[in-house]
Parts: sequence; C-alpha cells; structure tokens
Amino acid sequence: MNLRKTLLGAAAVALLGGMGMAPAMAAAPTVHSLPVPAKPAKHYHFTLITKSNASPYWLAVREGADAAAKKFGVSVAFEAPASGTDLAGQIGMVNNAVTGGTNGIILAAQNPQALLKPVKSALAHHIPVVTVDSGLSPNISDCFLATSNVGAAAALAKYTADHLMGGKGEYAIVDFNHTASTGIARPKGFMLGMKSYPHIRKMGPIQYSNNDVSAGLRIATTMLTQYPHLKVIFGANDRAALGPAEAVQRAHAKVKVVGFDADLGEIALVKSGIIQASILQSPYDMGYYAVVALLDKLDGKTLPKRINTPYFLLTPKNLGSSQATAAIRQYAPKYNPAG
Amino acid sequence: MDQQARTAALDVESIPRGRMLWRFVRQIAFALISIAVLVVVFGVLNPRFLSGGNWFHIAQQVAVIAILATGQTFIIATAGIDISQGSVVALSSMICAIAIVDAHMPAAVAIVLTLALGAVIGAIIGLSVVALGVPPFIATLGMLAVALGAALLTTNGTPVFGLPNGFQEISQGTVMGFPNMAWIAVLLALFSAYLLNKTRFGRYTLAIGSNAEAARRVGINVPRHLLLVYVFGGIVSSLAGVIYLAYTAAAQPTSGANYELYAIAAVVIGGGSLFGGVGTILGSILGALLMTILKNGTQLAGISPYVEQVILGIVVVGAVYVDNLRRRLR
Repeated sequence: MNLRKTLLGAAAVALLGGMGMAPAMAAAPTVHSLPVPAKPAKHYHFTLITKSNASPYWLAVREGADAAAKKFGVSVAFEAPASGTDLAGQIGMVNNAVTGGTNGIILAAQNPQALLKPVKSALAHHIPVVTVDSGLSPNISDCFLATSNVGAAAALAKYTADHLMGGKGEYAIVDFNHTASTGIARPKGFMLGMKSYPHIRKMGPIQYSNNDVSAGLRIATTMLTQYPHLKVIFGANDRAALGPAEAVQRAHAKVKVVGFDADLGEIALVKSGIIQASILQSPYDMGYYAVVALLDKLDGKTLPKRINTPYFLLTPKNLGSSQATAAIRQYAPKYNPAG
Repeated sequence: MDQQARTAALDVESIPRGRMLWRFVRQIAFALISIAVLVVVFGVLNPRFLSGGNWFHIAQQVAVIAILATGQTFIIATAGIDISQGSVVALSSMICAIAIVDAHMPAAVAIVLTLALGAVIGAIIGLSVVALGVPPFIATLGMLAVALGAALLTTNGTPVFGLPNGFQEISQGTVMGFPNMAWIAVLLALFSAYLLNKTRFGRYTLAIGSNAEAARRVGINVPRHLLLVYVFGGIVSSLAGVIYLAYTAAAQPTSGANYELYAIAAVVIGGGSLFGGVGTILGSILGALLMTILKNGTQLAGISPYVEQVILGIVVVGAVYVDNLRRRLR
C-alpha cells in the first residue's frame, strides 16, 4: 500500500505544484473513496479480461490485480485475446467467464458498445463487473476505473506547447486505434489543449499504427519527409510513441516525441531526450483497485460509477525524482532508477 | 494414358461404399478423438464446462470459424488456399452495417447485397487464378490487402454502431434452444457436405485437387470450375462477415484478423490436405469445434491463454503428422 500512497501524493503534488497543472475533472472520486475490504470468508475467483495478452501495459494491470488478490486471499484468472481487435474473442471470454462461474469480472473493453450484451448477461447472473482503462457506453458496469484521457492529453498538449514548441509551430498525431474509447479520447484531448494556441498547427490527418511499433515507425518516417518543419509528434500510447521515437532517432531529426505510458523502452528514450514528455497512467492501481472494488461490491457496499486514477507527466528533467520512480513502478513494479 | 487419367480423376467414385465410409471415419478420427479427450479433461477440471449454458456459448463461438472452414474446405480441396477470408469478413461486416445503419436498408436487402459483394470478391480471386495465372496464395494475399484497405476506406477507419435489435437476433436468437448463428453454420455445413459428396460440382472439386491435368483430360472445364469454387468461397466468407456483425453488434474495419488461419487450421485438423483432393466438411467443422473447445475449456479450467496457443499449435502439427502416418501405414 505504501507504494501506491506515495504515488498518489506524488502525482497530486506534481500536477498541482511542480507543473502548474490542475488535475482534470477533479470532481470524479479517487481510488481512496473505495472502502478497504476485509479478507472475505469465501475464496472468490475473479476474471481479468484485458484487450490483448502481450502488452506491458496490460501485464501491469495484471500485476496490480494479482497483488490485490494475494493480499485479500482471492484468485484472479487472466484472459485476453492475442490481438486488440479480436472483438468476437473478447465477447466469448466474458461469456465463458459467466458460464465458468466466476465471482466477478474486471474488463478493459475493446469496444464501448459491443461488450454491452455480455456484460449485461454477467450482471443478470449477479456477477459484479468493474471496467478499467476502457469502459462501456453507456457505463453499465458497477464501477469504471480509468485515467481521464481527455484531461491528461490536454495537460500534455499544454506542456508541449509551452515548453517544447514555444507557442508556435507544427505537430502531427500517431494514434494506436480508432475504435477504442482511449484511442478516441487522447487525440481529442490533445487537439483540445492545442486549440488555445493560435500559432500551432496540426499537420495532416491522425494516422493509425494499430498498436504496431513498425507501423508507427513507417508512418513517422513519412511524416518527417512530408512535413520538414514538424516540431512534435504525439503518440497516443506506448506502441504509438515508440515507432515515431525510433523514426526520429534513425533520421537524426530534431523533432520531439510526446506520448502516453512508459514501458522500459520509452523510459530509455525519455532519458535520451527523444521522448520529451509522457503521460504515465496507473495501470497497476487500476488492476489493484478493481479487485478492491469487486470485493466492496460483493460485501454489499455501493460503488461510485466512475473513479479517476491518477496520472503523472514524465519529462527528462523529473526522470530522476522519487515521484517519477513511483509513477514508473506503476508499469514496471521492479523498476530501479539506478539500473 | 487417357484411361489412366480417367481412373485418377474419378478415383473418388470407383471406391466401394464400405471402404469410402471407413476412409471417411479414419480421416476425422484425429479430430473426434481429440475432442473427446478435451471434453473429458475440461469436464473434470470444471464441471460447468459440461453445462448447457456453456455449450450454448461454444455453439455461438464456433459459428464464424465453422462457416469460414466450410468455404476453405472447397478451396483447399482444389489444392488452392484462401488467406483473404479475415479481411473479407471485415469488409463484409462494414458494408452490411453501413447498408443497414447509414443507408437505412432492410436487413434482408443488406444481407443479400453483402453476399453479392462476396460473390464479386470470389470472382475476382478466381479470375486472377485462372485467367491471370496467379497462384491462389498470391491472389488471396492481394485480396487480403485490398479488402482490408477497402474496409478502412468505407468509414475512414471508424466503427459502425447502432444495429437494430432485430438484426442481432441472428446471433442472439434461438431455435430449439440452439443459437441461430450456429443453426446457420449447421445448415451451410449440411448443404456443403451434400455439394461436395453427392454432386458433380463436388466430384470435380476433388478431382481437380488430386490431379488437375487428369481432370482436364477427362473433359472437366477446370478454369470455369475453379472460378465457381472461389465464388462460392467468397459468398461463404461474406456470410461469415454478416454473422460476425450480428454477434459483435459493431462493425470494425480491423475485425476478423487471422480468422483465415483458424479456418485453414480447422480444415487441416479435420483431415484436409493442402495438396488438394482430400477434405470433408464434417472434418473441418470438427476442426473448428476442437479449436473453440480448446479456447473455451482452457479459460474455464483456469489454464493460461498462452498455454492454449501452444496446445493449438501442437494439435495442428499433430493432426498432419497422424495423417501422414496413416497414409504410410496403408
């Protein structure tokens, strides 16, 4: 618990003080509004279903859920389709979890509408459902834990405009997926944040890398030739930021990359200054508190419909700070800044 | 020489009925035995695996792959292959969704339109193969890219929502407690099995696959027949797209990725040979069922999805190995 408390404090301090930013949508409750559950008398079996099964981000969610499972004496089975666009696969997994007799489902929905039916069926079987990262529309889950993506992306845009672009110039966007709620919200938030700068221009349409680093590399390489005055490329998640970063490195271009998330590759790139800013979310907390929320629900407590998990803006300057280390440990619990 | 060719081409007909049946049973034995073993193992690990509710879900989950495997069986039986099925599923579901949601067409009209699109796609593949002489792998590789690009172009990459509840009945509705989408797969399988085994169309398909030259010599119009097989395959892929759409209630241009690989695996597990001339519809359906049971059962038994992938790979290779062994022992 210490790690998480440190991070929450750190994120709040960083956001309010250090960077002159207000946490977006402060109205939504935080993870602290969830009562700490007692160890249940019964051994519950929960199912965690993420969008895909090999992304470091989802594995961090899984680690958080596993840690909570260990602490409260429950078990969490991990399920996810191999690809983030295998919608039928994910629907099948939710249905299988229901027939398999799970006691609660944690879901990161590949698509906000398509997962409604299977989730309804779970709720009809009195199986609580907590959504993390990517929710449902309308939000019928018992509780939705996620970053305020629009707010975080807007905050990233403001930092980018002020510190990396000097209030003027050109930028471009590489998104990872146009169908997921997060893939839609982040470019939207980033463009929203940039709107208040009249001398900043978005170049070309949003390009999609479909979570493929090599596709991101190819797209960004083209961008570098196409827009010779480009100052910044925004990559909307880890995969979408890594490709452009690699392209900039290979071309020895002066373009800066800003993005979301922090796998260890991205952290090295922040260290070398290729990635100048990245929004770090709280995947570990999402997994951890999703288990807490399920236990609260099974204990008969009322849950808030929406919980904003904290984010942290990582830059080459604050990389060495203890706050940054805590934020990175949301992705890689064993991260050691010296190593 | 001509006499020899005739015998080779009509090989299928010349075998006595009893031996035909025996050959058929041996062909699907691997899939049948594997399924039996899995059902017992998963049933012991989690008794809920055997519940009616779970078989209902398995029936839903197998439908799309089973339909694709049916089309793939015909194409593989001619010694061809179709690796464009996944993107044709995506394109078909996009077109069908747009026709219903944006163009306000009645669902029946939209479905017919989508199946017609599938026929056109199949015809393009078939013409590339027979008229341009492009190998099926390359022709369908091209179509994989074209259909995926077209699917993305239809809406500029955004998904389509808002399908009427009536349309979703195709997947959610039931007849005699069995999901409609599975009924559709069963009806298609029965029709296809009849087509492959009892009609001239089916005999020609297998004859071309065993020996195209011999088939030509006995007077089969090989190009025309191949074209028809690919048209059939295209329609079937589009049908799978419609079913996929009804199941997911949302059309995504990138859905269906890798489904062609599952369909090919289903055919191979079911005793089909990539060299052509061999393959049964029942075998392919059992292959699809085996993969679905594997996915469903590993989840219910709490086995990691990574392990499921490993098992699937071993099953595919094992199926071909057993098949080879059987041939050598004969």
